[in-house]
Amino acid sequence: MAEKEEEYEINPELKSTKKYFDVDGPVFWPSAIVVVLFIAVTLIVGEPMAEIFSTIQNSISEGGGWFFVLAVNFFLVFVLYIAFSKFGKIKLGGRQAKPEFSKGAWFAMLFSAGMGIGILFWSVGEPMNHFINSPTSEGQTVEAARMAMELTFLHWGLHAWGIYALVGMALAFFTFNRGLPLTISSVFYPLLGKRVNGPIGKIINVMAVVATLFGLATSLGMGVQQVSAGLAHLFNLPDTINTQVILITLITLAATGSVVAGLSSGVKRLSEINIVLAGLFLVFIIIVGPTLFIVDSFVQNLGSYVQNFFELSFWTETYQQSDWQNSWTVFYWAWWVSWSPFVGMFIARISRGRSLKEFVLGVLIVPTLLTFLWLSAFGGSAMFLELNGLADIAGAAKENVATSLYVLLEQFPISSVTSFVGVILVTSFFVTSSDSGSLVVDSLTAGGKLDAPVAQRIFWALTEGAIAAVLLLGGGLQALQTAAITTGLPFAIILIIIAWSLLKGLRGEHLEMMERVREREHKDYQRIVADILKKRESK
Amino acid sequence: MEKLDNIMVCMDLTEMDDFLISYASYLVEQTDAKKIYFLHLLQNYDLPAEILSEFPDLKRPISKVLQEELEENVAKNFSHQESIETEVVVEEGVKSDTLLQFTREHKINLTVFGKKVGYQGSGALPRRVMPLTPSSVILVSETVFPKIEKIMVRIDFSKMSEIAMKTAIQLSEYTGAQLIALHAYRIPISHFPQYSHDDEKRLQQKMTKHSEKEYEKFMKKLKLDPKAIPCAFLYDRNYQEAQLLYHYGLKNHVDLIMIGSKIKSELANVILDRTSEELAEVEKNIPVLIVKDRKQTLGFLEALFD
Repeated sequence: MAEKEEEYEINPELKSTKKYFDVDGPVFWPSAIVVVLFIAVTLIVGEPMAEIFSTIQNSISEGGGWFFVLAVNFFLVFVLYIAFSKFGKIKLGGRQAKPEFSKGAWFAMLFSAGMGIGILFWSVGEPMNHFINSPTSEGQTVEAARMAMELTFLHWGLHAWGIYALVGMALAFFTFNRGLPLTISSVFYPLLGKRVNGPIGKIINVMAVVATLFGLATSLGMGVQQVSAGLAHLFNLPDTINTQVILITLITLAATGSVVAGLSSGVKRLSEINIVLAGLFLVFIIIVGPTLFIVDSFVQNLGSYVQNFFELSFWTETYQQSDWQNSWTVFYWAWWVSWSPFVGMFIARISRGRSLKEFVLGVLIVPTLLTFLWLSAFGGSAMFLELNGLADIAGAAKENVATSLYVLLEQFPISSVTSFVGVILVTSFFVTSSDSGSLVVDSLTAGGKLDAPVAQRIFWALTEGAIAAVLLLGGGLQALQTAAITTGLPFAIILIIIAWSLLKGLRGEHLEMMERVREREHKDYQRIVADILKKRESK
Repeated sequence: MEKLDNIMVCMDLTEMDDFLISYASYLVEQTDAKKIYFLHLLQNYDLPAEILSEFPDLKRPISKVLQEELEENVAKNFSHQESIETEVVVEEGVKSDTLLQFTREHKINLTVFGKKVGYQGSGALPRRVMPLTPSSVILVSETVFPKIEKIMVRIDFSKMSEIAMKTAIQLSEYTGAQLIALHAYRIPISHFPQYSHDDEKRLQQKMTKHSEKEYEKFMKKLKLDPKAIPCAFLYDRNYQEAQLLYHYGLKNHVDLIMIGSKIKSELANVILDRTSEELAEVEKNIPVLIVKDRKQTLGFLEALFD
């Protein structure tokens, strides 16, 4: 078995030794070229790019929708299988590893990493959109309201976390238990062996970098749209693409400042503030909003989600012949997939010392329930106001989804303060996402190193901002969605292979675990025999 | 029905040995066993050089030293040295193969294994050997006090249940233990899933009646009075028969659970039937006697490996 361990090449310290630039060329340059080319083409083509984005999104969604639906279900079933199989006992980081964070801190970090900006953007806008334009019933009816919440739960529920759990578990296992670098290609070691360091491994990492960048840009683009809408709402500033681009520039610069300050100071404190602010925001809405309705809807939505889980999960809109699902469900699945290297890497880093069963159940259940509570509070409040004819939030969401949160807040006391807090929250989520995103992309393009020179991280922070700006210029929200779907599709295939590779790796780990037990018994036996020899020979 | 002529106690040099010797002592006292073997399987004992260097004058083989140690332990804890032939054996080789070969050669009828509850140990050897050995196997934990006053036999009306019942009767004749039987039934799968709670109750009653009739037939076949050995008929609702047996055994202060075990082959492995295997795994406070059919096991293994 010792031979088995040697098979895995343990990367020594993964410490950067260079001062200004320390990149893994075959990953860094192709990634940079792809991204720069994309930015250049979008800027040169200009207006017609929106049309191109739309065509790409439609063709991928129409042709590959069934695949995304099937794939996300597979990921969820797969991680549950791992949790409840004999592999569930395997500990990330080995038998002796202890969790670095308390359970409370772990859950809070999981939630903020996975949802972040997205949930602020969509928690009001999405249910309102489905309420108006229901895929299964007439819009603006009680049935449409029920379905709207159910579909929103589907998109933000267990499937999203199943994807993150898969990537996070694979990365954590191969990094902590196998001593491989924290890169996506490491996960393929059982299948590719040392070839993970060759061209195939590099291609995988390039795909991961591109997926992460576009997934991040999608979130950042949405975030900046929301900040812009908030400022328009509060200070009557023009909510135009130009304002959004200026905002991206400003916030990216702030994020860059935070990058320079380093993980331990700036971002860490900002993340903590984000969590506290988000928590206060949630409590505020539950208290000042229709509290009973929120609690009722949380319970009912949860029940409906459980009841209709399988039907909704495998629903492919086959008999409706509409394209509703393409712009919603398929977009979400692709977005989560493209966002998964980022979230997965983050989850992996904070989950050392957890058993696989604890990891899967922790990643799946608690953040999902927190997300559902958030959606019930914000989406539920909006739904309450709509159903009782107290406000036209749905109309506002239809016109500009980014404003829906502020229109909701307007209905409650101290709305200017809460809207301002909303803007601050989205901005700080932007900064932390951009910063930690840069760290992830930088690590991927520096061969798994986690302390590569700061200049590189600044480059990636600026690039993310640039992609988000260019996507907004090239077609707004639709361009952002196209970016997620386009990069999500190839990465979904990669995720299927990751599952296979992980299973192979876990089988090896399990065998080694059994071997360790035998070895321990053998050592105990040697000790016993030695003691008997000492006792009898000294007589 | 096989006589308990030859008993083998598997020892591993740990504190567990003391308990096993005491239990074996009790078994010998209660039965008319002819010979008892205390077997230790010598592991690849290539002791680290630093330990061996402490004994530069060691002239005897290590196996000899260990044998002396075991003999001393047996002399101290085994109280029937005069009434039964006793042999302490230290064997070398691959553990499971050596053990099986020894069982065959010495026509062992009952193998006593320790089941560690508090002590360290993976229980890998009994797990590997149980399906393959032609002898019956008893698993005893260190928490058990040696006494057999109440025996519970698990029956499923099969041929192996008949053998288990006969062995149980034989044991109860030796020990004077009270005998009870337990049959766990499930509602046939053909009834799923279209039944309500009332239907389930009705089916349960029907199954109990059916099981009672089967039990009567089973006992008549063995030329026994069904009333002489009361049988409980329990509904195994959750498909966890081993847990059910464990729970019922604890509740009724049973000292020994007996189960007739079938072996089967699965993916080139020889395994015990699921209930026996699970019972051996979950049972911690009551010894479990897995009754084997020597002829069936030997025939099966020969057919499989020839």
